[in-house]
Amino acid sequence: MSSTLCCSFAKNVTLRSSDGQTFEVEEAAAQVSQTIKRMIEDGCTGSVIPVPNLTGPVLALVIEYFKKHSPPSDGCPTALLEMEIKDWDAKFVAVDNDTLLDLTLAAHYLEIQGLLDLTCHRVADILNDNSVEKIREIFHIKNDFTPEEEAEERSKIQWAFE
Amino acid sequence: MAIPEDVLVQILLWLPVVSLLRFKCVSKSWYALITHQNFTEKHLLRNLSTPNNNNNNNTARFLAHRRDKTTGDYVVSSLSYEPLQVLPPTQQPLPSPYSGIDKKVEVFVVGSCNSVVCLYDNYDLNIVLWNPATKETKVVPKSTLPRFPAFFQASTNGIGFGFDARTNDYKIIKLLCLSDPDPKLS
Repeated sequence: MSSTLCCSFAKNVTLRSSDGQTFEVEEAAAQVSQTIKRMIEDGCTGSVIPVPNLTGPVLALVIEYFKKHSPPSDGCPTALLEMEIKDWDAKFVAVDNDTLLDLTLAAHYLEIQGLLDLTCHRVADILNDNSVEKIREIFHIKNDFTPEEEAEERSKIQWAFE
Repeated sequence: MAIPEDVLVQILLWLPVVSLLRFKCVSKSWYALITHQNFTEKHLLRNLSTPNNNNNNNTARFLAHRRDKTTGDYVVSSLSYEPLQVLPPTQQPLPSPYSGIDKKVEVFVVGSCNSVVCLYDNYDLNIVLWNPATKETKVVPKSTLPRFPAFFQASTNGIGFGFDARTNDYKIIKLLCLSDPDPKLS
């Protein structure tokens, strides 16, 4: 099959979330995810591709990301386009903490390196501005230090808390 | 919801050292992760290779060492190479006391490598490693090499400090000058 034919009739794939919602997306766009790319290469295109780790709303967001980051059909991305994508990315991760963590896990599961870098950087920025207590809250982490252990550890690096 | 450890590493790698020190207190697993050598190495590599928003890690630096006239303390400043200027934080006092010794000792900067500074304390003749980012210090144990015969006089001619990629560890080399007091002269 010639490549021109391939590009003029964009092939679609169907993705199904954990809660049974289905989404149709261009095959080229979905291959932004290395996990989906491998599944397509292994011949999963005929049927629906299950994405059991993502709920419908999160998968819908990830597909927005796919569409924005699918390789341009007409060659190299321009500097202007790159700037526009950067702005778009910044707005894309300006979401509530739970959604941001969902997106981070989705990027990890679907192996989307660009999205993983983007979300991890954003999470780090949020952590940086917050206290230890607030971080436990964001990540739902139980503090397993005894009060004595924590006080001792804090006293060693008092300057870092000032 | 549990964050897989490799994702947590990707997040924490973006943070400056001062935040990581605080976040050691989040939980025991965070403490283990942040203080693990694998993580500290990755963090160092990341910060050596990518310019950070807050500081110019990519520019070559000098360490300037001087004694503050009013307090008598030794202070160290880092300078960027181009343009030649003092980088913030403008200066940091040398760690004193570094091992519970509460006195002002004469300290020289031997050199620095991978953000670790090697110091020489000219009073107790100690070699001290100092990490200004974490404010930790470590007195290097004295060499276990056999002493020279008593009649030789040994004096330190120079000290070198570097990183040996083969052993994945720092290396300190001390150059000694031996003089054999000629019995005929005395």
